[in-house]
Amino acid sequence: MPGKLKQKSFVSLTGGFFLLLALSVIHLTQGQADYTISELLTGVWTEGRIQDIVTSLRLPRLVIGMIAGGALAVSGAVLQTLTNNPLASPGTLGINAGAFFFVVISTIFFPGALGDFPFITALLGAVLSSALVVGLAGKAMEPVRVALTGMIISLLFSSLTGALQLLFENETNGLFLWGSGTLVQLNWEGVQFAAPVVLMLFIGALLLAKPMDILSLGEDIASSLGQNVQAVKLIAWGVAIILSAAVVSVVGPIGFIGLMAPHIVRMMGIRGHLQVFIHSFLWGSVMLIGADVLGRLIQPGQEVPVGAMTALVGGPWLLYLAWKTAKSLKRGDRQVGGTTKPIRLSVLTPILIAIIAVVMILALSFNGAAWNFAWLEPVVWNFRVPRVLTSFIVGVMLAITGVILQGVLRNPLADASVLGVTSMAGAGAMLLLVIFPAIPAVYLPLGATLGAALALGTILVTAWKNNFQPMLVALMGIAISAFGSAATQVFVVKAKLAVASALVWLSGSTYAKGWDDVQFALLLFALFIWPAIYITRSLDTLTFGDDVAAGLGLDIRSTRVWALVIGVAISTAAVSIVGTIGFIGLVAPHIARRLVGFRHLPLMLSSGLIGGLLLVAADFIGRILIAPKDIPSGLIVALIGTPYLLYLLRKMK
Amino acid sequence: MKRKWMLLIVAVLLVLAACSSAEDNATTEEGAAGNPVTIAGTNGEVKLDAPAKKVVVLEWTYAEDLLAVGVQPAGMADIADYGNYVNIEPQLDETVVDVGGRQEPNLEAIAAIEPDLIIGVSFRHDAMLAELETIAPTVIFNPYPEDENIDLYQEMETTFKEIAKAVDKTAEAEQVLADLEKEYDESASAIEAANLKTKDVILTLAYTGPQAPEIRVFTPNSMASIILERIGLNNVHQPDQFEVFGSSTFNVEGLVKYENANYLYTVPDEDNIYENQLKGNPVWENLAFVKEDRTYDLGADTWLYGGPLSAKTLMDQITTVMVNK
Repeated sequence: MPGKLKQKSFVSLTGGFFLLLALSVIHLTQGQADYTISELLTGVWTEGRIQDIVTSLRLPRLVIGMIAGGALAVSGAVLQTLTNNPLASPGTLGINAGAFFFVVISTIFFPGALGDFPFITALLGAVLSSALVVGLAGKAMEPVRVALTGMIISLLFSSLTGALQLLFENETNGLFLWGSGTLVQLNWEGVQFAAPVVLMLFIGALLLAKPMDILSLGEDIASSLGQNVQAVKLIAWGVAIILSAAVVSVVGPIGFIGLMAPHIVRMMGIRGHLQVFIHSFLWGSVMLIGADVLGRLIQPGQEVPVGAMTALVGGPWLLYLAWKTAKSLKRGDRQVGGTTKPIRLSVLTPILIAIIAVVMILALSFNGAAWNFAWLEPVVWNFRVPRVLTSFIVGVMLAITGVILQGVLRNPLADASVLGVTSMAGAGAMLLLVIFPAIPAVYLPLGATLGAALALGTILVTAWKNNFQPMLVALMGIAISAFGSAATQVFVVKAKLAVASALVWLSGSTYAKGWDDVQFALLLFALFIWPAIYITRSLDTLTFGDDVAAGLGLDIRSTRVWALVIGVAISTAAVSIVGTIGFIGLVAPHIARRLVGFRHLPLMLSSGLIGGLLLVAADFIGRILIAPKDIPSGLIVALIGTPYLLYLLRKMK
Repeated sequence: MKRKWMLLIVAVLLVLAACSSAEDNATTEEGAAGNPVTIAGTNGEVKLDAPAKKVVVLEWTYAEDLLAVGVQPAGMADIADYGNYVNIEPQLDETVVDVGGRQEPNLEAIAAIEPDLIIGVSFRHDAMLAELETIAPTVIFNPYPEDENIDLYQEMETTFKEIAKAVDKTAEAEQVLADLEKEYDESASAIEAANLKTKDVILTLAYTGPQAPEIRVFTPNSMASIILERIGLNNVHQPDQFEVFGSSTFNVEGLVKYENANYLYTVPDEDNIYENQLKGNPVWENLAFVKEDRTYDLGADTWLYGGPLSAKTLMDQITTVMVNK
């Protein structure tokens, strides 16, 4: 080892070790039974209450935190080399979400059968989701694409999980906090299970260090040096996946440690996989224990999910990483695609309207049990008609947002939810609820607007210098999104019971929309449709690429800013009416583009119609499926939307 | 051409919206028997031309209030789950219509019942008050007042009386409350006679949190705690802060400071943390009330949040287990 590296390694190891020691001491003093450090120090050696508490509650929690943090960090380090992607980690690749989804399934359908640590089911989920991500992201393993695919897989699994938790409320009651990761332990069982698994795999990772050093020189060089590249990669994937699955099965999905720890280690100048793995383990432990200490400082005596704490810190970190990664990317002039043989609007529009009419008639006439064609009857007229109409208008608005955002960012995966606007809107609303617990739900949109504006502001500020490079903006969005949902989780814990209605609102609900909502939606629609139409011409010019567009006399920067502002304004308007419904803005423009090509005015018209159609259909399905109960339409949309996205990704080779 | 289509759609929608304002609330029923009544909820005074006959309740507690005065609700939310948590006499009638979940009750199903009155709870139904009011007069109650000076037992009584007034059963309600008072005295003397080692207690409700038990410990302002005090027991839990829902959340560590009190608890059968997670945990096993066998199981379906009938069930359960153990 060269002298300089040795020195850095020494600093990192001793620094990390002392930090871990200090955090551990604080960690051990935290708990509902109020003991001072000196009481703990004197009491722990003799049999009795303090010893019991320390050895059966606090120590296991500390140890599982160290093991989990270390395991996630090493898993992240392995994945980052494997995918040659600075943004890879068990969280961003969807492995955590997949593992957790399978755990939820096994809890509901095979309760008790799998023991306390559903390791096998978690592993199945982890394998499935990583296979999906690798399969869909393509051989090139382009960082952004991999990250986006991972995020979509995560979305898919978490919306499925959400739907299951809603339908099987009683069976999954205890999973809510755990779903965000928690270190609470009652005994040593978790440690006894995780420690040997993690230790074995950690040794495996250390043994892999050398081959991975060679691998990172490039696959060609590695195989010319006589390495069995496929075998090394396969084993490395296995190590990374099993590590994170083991962690999920004990403490739930915890994100961002796997992303941050290896980076911090590399930033300190540590090189070589052997060193990186060892240091990552240490720093992963430091970070997770630190997050747990912080969580209990924020809300003493209450459990704030530690996964939310890591995301709260990790979101901005990812923002920074994304910014750094994107700087090294080439200017991403990516075609959004679209058919070259567009269907004429005069043909398409009547067809779409006919389909909408059929679905609307269906939605207006059926309540899940009986048909009723008397739409003017008060029951139907007061409740069903406005609900269907609101869904339609909001669907149109969401789709238009998608057209604008995808056009301006020239990014086929752009959408209010991908940009983090939706998630921050949710966080803003929850923050309002935390500050003013008694606030009526009608004021929640105020907070939502604030949150969305903050998200947009962040994107504007961070992307300004790069002239809104599409890749960069998409990555920023992921980071902001993660931060927003973590903040939401923390607020949920802070606001306690008042949350019930907010949670439904957050998941997106077209429930109980009356004529006031129809009028409000129409008003907003009428207000925003003109700037949206106006901007289409500039968006058309932008499709030729920045240089050509500038040559044609378009002020690219101000166009970008205005288009972003309009897009976010419309999506916030939609959120203020129905809460956070994602995916419509993503899916509708894609379908439309394959029908009418890439010119923005026809695109906006047809995707608007398709978006309206989608939300009316989702609302209808949610209303009748388990009638007289109700499934929030946001969940239905997600369940329809994610498989379509996966299909889309597959096609976008 | 294209723009024309867009305008057309907007125009159609605008017309539709305009129609809505023409459609006003249905006229209230007239000629029903009885005198007008006024009920006070958190949404202000609600006037009924006559006492309500058909009532839709969107929260369990208020269904119980109706049952206590001998009125079956016409419709109710979450009937299936109600049975799992609430054990009171009289039972809910088979004919009561399920109107969907408590969080998002089915408005059409409620309207189909054509109720005279809808009763909701503020933390769930404030958001849909306008819609509910188009169906029938709606009164909203808040079982968890922000005001620290109102204890939750007072709140329960006030709401109970208001609901009884709405269905013209004021006398019955007074009788129910008076009976309850008498029974408190009887229970108190039974407990007095039982010669307990200590009358200090804490009352808890537990469930599995994230792989570990969470234990709600009831505060002195909760309804359940006030019942304890009425029958001569002494709740030793003093929360650090005002708990609007009447309980603090503890884990097993938090129980340490109350180990000399008796431990009263209710826990779901399918999620019995004492049989599962806590069995063998040295902290739990070494708590004084566990070692000295002073834990009292009140049964899984003793509802700690309801109205006078739940109060009676709770009192009976406490008295039975404490006197007989």
